[in-house]
Amino acid sequence: MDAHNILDYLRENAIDGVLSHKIIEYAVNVTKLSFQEVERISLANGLIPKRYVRNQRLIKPAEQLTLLNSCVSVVGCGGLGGYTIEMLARLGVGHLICIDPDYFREEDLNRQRFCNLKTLGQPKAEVIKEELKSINPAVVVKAHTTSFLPEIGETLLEGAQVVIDALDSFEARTDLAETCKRLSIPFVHGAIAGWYGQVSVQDLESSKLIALFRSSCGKRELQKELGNPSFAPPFISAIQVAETIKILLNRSTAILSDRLFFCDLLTISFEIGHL
Amino acid sequence: MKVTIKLFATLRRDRFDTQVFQFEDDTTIYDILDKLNIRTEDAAIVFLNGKHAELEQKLSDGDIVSIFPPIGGG
Repeated sequence: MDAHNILDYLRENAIDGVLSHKIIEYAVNVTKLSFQEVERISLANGLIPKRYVRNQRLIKPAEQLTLLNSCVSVVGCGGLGGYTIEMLARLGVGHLICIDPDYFREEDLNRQRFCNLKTLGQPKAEVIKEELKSINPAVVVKAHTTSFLPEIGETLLEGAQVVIDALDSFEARTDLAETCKRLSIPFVHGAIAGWYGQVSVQDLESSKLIALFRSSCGKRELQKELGNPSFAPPFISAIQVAETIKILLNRSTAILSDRLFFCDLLTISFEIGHL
Repeated sequence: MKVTIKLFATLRRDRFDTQVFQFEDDTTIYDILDKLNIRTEDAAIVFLNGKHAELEQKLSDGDIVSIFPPIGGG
C-alpha cells in the first residue's frame, strides 16, 4: 500500500463502511500520510472512522468531512476552554488554535479539564496540544502561549472560521470581539460565575456584544465573589460547542445570534433575551 | 402602572426573584435600580420585555424588566 492505493486498502478493511482506529493507524504508518489525511480520504469516499460513528445521524458523513476541514480558535484554555477544546476534538473539528499565556496552577484542579497533578506548572495551551494527540490524532493543533492582543490578533486567529471566547475578563473580551468583527469571524461568547453562566453569539454584522462588554468593563464581576465550581464550565462549554457546530455546518436555526442565554444552575432556570 | 421586575443570580439576595410593582408614570429603569438599591455596577444586562434596554428607558404599564449581574469568568 502507498498513498495512491490507500483507498483500496481502506475499502477492503472497512466493515459496513466503518474503519477502526487500528486500520487507520496502519494506513498512516505505511503511507506516511497524517491521520487527518487518511480520515479525509476515508470520509470523502463515504467511509466513516469508527470514532465518529456515534456522531452519525446528527452529523452526516459529508458534514463530518466539513468538520475535519474546519478551523476553530479557542481563546483561553482554562475552565471553559479545556472542555470546549476537548469536545471539538472529539467531534472531529480538524484544526484548533488554542491561545492562553498561563500555566496550570493548583487552584485550577477543581475544574480545568487538562489540569492534573502531572500538568501543574506547565503551559495550558501546550499541555492541551499534547493531550489531544491521545484523544484524536487527526486534529491539528496550534498552541499559542501568549495573551490575546488585538495587534497580533490577525496572526493568532489566521484561518479560524469561528472564535470561541473562553476568557476571564470583559476587557480581554472586548478586544477579542472587536478583532473578530474586524476580521469577519463569528464569535461565540461564554462566561461563568458560581452557579451562573451565559452564552451568546456575535455574527458578522453585529456589534451588540461589543457594546455589552464595553459597558461591563470595570464592573464587579461575580466570579470574583463566587468563584467557579466544576459543573459550570462544561455546561456552558457544551452550549458554546453546539452553537459552533451549527455555524460550521450552516445550520442556522436556534443560533443565539444577538441573543443572550443566561442560566442559573441553583434554581435550574434560564432566560433568553435579545441584545 | 404595573411593572414586573425579575432579578437573577446574586441580585436576588435580600430582595426577591420576581415581583410586581406599582410605579408612577415616567419611571425609568434607572429609577427602579435606585429604588431596589442595586448599584449600576452590579447590573450588567437589563432586558425590557426580553430585549436589551438602556437605563434611561421609560417604562409602560405591563412591562417586564429582567436584571442580570456581570458574569465574566472563564
